[in-house]
Amino acid sequence: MFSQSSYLKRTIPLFIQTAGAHRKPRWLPVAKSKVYRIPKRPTTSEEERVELLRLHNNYKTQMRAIRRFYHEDMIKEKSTKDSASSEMSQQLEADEWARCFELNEKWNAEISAAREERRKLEIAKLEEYTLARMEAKDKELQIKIKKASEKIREQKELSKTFITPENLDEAIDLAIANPTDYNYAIDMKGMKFEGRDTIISYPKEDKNVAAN
Amino acid sequence: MPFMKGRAPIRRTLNYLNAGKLVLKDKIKVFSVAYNITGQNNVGTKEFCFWYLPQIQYKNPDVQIVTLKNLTPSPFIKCYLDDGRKILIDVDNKSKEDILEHLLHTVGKSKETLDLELLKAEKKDNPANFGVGCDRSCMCEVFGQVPCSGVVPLPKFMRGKYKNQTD
Repeated sequence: MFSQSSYLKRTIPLFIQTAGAHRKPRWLPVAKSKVYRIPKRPTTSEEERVELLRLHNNYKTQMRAIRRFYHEDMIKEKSTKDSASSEMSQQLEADEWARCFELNEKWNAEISAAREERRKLEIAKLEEYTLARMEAKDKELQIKIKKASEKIREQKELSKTFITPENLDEAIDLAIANPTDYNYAIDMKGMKFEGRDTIISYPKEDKNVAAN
Repeated sequence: MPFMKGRAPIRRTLNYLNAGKLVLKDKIKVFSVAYNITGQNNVGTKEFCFWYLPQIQYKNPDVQIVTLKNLTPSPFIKCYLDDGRKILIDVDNKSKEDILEHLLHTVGKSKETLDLELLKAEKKDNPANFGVGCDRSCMCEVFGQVPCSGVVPLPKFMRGKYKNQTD
């Protein structure tokens, strides 16, 4: 549906108020009494025509000159005003930007100096840390080497007792001469008697205890 | 995004977004922030991105805002101007407040300009205005106002012809 405003915005109004000119409507034909009336053509004398043409030409020329003068004047004025104001504002803006850039340069320089300082400290710290680590590693390695050499020395000491092809017979003889018997027996009291053929003999008082 | 979900949902409230102070100058078209997520010197920039970027984007809807994460060794902000120039702002080891303060002084519009623009916008935006360059060309377009007499004739009781009739 149409809203109120859409009616109001129409280019052609709904109601047309006619001006009070009382005319014969357009669609009515020429009046009967005037059908054969031929209006007289207006005549102007040659003199008057020339004079009027001169006057008109003069008028038009002068008016054109004035119009052009003012038009050019306006254009000139406008262009000067425009360029002046825009130049002013542009200059102002450029100045503002220059100031900002300068401020930023300063800030950047400050930060870069601070960063250099910080980097130096960090590098020093890193160096210290690395050195400490290297030292610790060295120490560890030293201890390891020491331990290893100790072990080697021990083994060397031990190797004197090893059985080799040279002293194999000796060792066999020794083993035969000194047999080792791992058998043993345990009695009710937890006494341990080593050897298979060991004769079990209790001390005297123990025997009494056993008898009781 | 639901209303009270995620990290620091206050960042998405209208009050918080409107409270942003940084309005970038008209010449700035792209605003890029580069930072790393590790390192003590990146903490300020990281927090700046977390807390202030929503506000900046809200206040500058026509500016492209880019964040470059873990692409550069040290954090910085770079602004690209419409005439091809760039501003590099080093933000290494600075707190988020310091960064914002500096940006306000360099790439942000000053308080006076903002006030002026606000005034201008208010003038243009006022729905009560009518005429050339406004929402409506004539007062009579408003519903309930007396229509222009060229469009709809005035009611008779308002017209002198009938009001001041003698006979």
